[in-house]
Amino acid sequence: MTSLVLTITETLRYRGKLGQWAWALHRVSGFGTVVFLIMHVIDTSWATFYPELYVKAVDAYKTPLFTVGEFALVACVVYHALNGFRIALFDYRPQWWRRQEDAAKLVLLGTLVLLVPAFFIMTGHVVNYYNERVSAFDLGLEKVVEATAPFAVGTVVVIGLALIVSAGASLIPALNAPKKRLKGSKMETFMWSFMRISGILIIPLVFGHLAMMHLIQGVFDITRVGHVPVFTNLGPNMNETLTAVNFVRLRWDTMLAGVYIWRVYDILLLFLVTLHGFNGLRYIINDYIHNRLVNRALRIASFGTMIGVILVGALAILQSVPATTAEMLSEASRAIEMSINSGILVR
Amino acid sequence: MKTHQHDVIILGAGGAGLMAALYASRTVRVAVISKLYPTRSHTGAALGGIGAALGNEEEDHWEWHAFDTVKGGDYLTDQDAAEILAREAIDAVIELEHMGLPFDRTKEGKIAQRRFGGHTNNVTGKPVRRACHAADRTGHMILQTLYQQCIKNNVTFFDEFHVVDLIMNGDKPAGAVAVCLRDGSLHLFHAKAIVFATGGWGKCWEVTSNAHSMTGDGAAIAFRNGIPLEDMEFFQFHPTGLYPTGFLITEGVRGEGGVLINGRGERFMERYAPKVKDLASRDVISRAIAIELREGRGIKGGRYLYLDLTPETVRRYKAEAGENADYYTPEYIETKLAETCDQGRTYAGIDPVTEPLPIQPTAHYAMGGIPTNVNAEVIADSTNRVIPGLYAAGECACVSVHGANRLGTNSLVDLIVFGRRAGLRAAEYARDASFVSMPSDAGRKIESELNRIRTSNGSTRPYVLRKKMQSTMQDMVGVFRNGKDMQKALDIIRELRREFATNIRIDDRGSTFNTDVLEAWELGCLLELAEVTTFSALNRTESRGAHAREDYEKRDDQNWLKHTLVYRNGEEGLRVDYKPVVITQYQPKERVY
Amino acid sequence: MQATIRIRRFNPEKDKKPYWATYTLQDCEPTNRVLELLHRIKWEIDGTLTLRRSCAQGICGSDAMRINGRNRLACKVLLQEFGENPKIQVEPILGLPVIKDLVVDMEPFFAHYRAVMPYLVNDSPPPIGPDGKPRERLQSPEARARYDDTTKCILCAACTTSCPSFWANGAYVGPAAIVQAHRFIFDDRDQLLQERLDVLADPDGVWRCRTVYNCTPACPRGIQVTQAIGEVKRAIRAGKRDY
Repeated sequence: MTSLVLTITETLRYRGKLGQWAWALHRVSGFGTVVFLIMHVIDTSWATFYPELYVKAVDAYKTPLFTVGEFALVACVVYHALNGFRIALFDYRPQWWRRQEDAAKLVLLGTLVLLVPAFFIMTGHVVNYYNERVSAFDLGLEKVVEATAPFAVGTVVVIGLALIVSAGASLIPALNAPKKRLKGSKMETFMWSFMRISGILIIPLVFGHLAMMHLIQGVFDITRVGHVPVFTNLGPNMNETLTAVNFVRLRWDTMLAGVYIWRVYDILLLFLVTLHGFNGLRYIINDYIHNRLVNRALRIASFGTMIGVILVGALAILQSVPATTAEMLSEASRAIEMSINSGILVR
Repeated sequence: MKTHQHDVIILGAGGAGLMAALYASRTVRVAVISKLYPTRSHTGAALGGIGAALGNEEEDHWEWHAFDTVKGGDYLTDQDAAEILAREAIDAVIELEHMGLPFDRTKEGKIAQRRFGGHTNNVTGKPVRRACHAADRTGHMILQTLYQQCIKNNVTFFDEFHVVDLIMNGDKPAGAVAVCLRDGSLHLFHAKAIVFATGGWGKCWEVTSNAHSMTGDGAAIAFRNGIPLEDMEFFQFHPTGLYPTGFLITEGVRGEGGVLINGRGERFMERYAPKVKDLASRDVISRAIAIELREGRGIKGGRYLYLDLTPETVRRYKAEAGENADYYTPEYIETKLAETCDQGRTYAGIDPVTEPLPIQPTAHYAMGGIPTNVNAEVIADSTNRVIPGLYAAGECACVSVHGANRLGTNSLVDLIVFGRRAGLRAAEYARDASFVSMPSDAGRKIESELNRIRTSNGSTRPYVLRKKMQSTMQDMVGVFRNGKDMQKALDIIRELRREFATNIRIDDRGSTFNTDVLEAWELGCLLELAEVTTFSALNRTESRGAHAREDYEKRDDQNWLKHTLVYRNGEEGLRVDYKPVVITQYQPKERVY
Repeated sequence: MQATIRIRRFNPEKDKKPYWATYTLQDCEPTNRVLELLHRIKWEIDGTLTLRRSCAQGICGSDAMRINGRNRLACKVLLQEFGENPKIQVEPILGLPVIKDLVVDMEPFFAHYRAVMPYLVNDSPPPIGPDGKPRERLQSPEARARYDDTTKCILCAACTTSCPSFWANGAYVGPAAIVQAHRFIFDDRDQLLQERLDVLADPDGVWRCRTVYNCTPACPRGIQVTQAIGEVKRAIRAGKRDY
């Protein structure tokens, strides 16, 4: 931890140029996004497994604190995406380094250009929500606590367990031999490339996701009367129950598109973002936590969490496939029946 | 005091020390002891090139190189040494290339060579391309390459161990004493063979190209232990020190075509050396500059002249000489003379590509030093009696290969050729010899001297004495000298030595990294060498090479074709002796460029 | 003119922790270098002030320090860049243990340097000249130019100690060691390419570089440090010199 404190204070004291600030922002925005990612994937999966919990989570998402968080999240994702592109570009062409500072400026400008209309639209959703449905301003602190407490507790439990495992591991001598000299790591080399390639792939996926879920429709729209989930072929009143659970189901189940396109899209996004995010987290842990026991514990905890997030997210997306398929088959047979009845086929 | 034992210890980690270490470590256990990290050594500041008659660019022969060296040294050079230097330079440069030294290359991929002062085609008398170079950071590359090879060969280093004395058992060398800078502890190094590679003492002068650490420690230590110093009156002033700092601007600038210009806009070297002009040897040009300045032809009447390497000027003079100069573009200057460009921009605020650089002569190199034979063995007297187990190489040594004036590039050749010989010979000696037993009081004398300095409570800060010494040497024992001034200088320096021994003031009484005490101790070395230099210069009543006397303007081969040896004679006195010059095939004649 | 210098001082024999000391010097010239001011303080005011220096002309690499927030060589910074009444703040470079005042322990730095095997290896017999003696290995001017930039390194540690990755984790070999490796990786005479690439592909090798770009402006020799690191990364990925 001392090394983290030192890095923060000295980064503020050292008169580095823009590259240094770009790096600092990249770290902060990446870390913020990962923390949100864990919550988000688990919460959303509840739509499949524990619908009532998902309802509560969406309720909490509408509280003012989360609204502020949502703005921050969008800012983080946009900056991290653009700056990540800059990093990958200059890694690919190191001889262009003289332009990296211009590029860093462009990234800031680009972030601003994207964020101004995005925030404008998002503000629109917020204003609408408060105009149409909420009479009194309510911080909804209990809701926030209720939504975040399990994660806080979970974090403590996971790290605690990881510390125990790590302490156990420290009894195995082979795992604790001090590193004598540098020797190459294929994994590290691969991860470096993976971070760049996945980063580039994530950019269109996550921008699409942001556009759909935060701009075109807001969090508040999930349960709005008469709302049509974007890129679905459903009519305005399909979400008759006005529940969030139904909304998720509707998006995933939009006929064939839902079974294939949305699920593939979401699975891809889930895998790439999670792997990218948790590897970033591993970098941060290895950079700043040097106590062997704690370092290993945190790596175990983050690895475990990563597996958990991927499993839960993937299962949630795939779990609903059988149900959907069955439903689609019966819908199809019903349609055939109807057409027979109306005599279309006979003629 | 902690004791270490090694077959060979090498004092100093510059070019000569590292070269000796590389060769000695092949067969025996070696330790290199250096007051600086090896890569900080002043070899790194050598710029323009290393001379070797490879003949890669045009016809050249090592015999020509040997003759140029002898002539450059104004016939005081020992000619057997010059022949070894010139012959082995070729192997040495090839060997450096094999070690990885990134020499610049010709189109065919061979080592590139450039012109340098005093290096000529012996038939035509025109400058010859002999200086092998890596841009204008040849010394830096040599130092780096040798250090790299030492790491590869696991040479033992004691970095930031400041050697402060020799350990003698009677008249036999037994080792050395060093201060560990980190904690101030004294360490005894017991060794069969000891190699001095401690460099020069340019810090005796005010305007110098030398590093702050060039304080002649090794020469002073040897001298205090009864070893004479040879040819101390010959100290080279490099013609092109940047004004006003004195930092070295490489001769390579003139090798590439740069010219010296006085306040009237004249290329004045045409008058002093009609044949080679700006590529005459350094003593000749420094004197010419001193005369130009004295006669009021400085730039705007000031104390400096111009060194012009702008494409405009260089191309004009090259065209006059009938040479093609199309290649000489700003880009060419930026790559071939990168350091020079950086120096001009940083320290003079001048871009050498577009403006001429202000220059002045600067104290640069000691031709004299610890006397050795061609095997780098230290000799004790005029009969060339060898002191077994003691070696010296590089600037601190006097082989004498540079005579009265060193040619540009030959310092690097000296390091490599005689550094290697020192290492080989020391290892050979150490293989068969046994350790000289350590006297029981080893290190006690220097310990009490350092304690005296540490606890001294006088009224004069050492820097005051140093400043006074430097200005005295600059004004009275500089490019031009005369008996009256030098006598005055000798008196002043002796007074400063007394003051140093009795009345200095030190602030730092701690043991951790106490540079306050060690700087003062270094000042003691400088004062000692300044005294010997002035004494030797006063004694030699002729003008030869870098030693130019206004009261004895002519070279006097009749009386002075001999080396000076100076001994410490009691605490205050100095004694002088002489040693003949070795002449093989080049008979002394008048020296014109 | 008058100059004010704040120096981060620490004497392990007296002080529990570092402190700032301020000195005022009269009669300074705009062309004075920071090193000269430090010398004046050491020589005229307080002999206990401790720093490393040698050549004073930017080639030996002894006097890297943090001057007004950035890593520089004290001998290459002229007073004139700080205006009429210069105020200068000097502190030791960060990431290496402070021994005393501006002097830090360079051992970890040189250990990293040694780790990248900074020496040329070529065991094949050299060409033989017409006189039967060994001659130089040929290298085209283009091949020589490929690694020219990184041969300028003087191991002053200004780059390595400007790097937040190094501040955070001293196990990182740091920019200087990678620059040294670059000098050999791209030298076509060298035969130790794979071993060197292997060493540098360590998590504490090039992969701890986060392209912060602090190292490049910190280099007093103008080496394009981050570019060199980037090129080494590419060579590792490609497994060869000419990626």
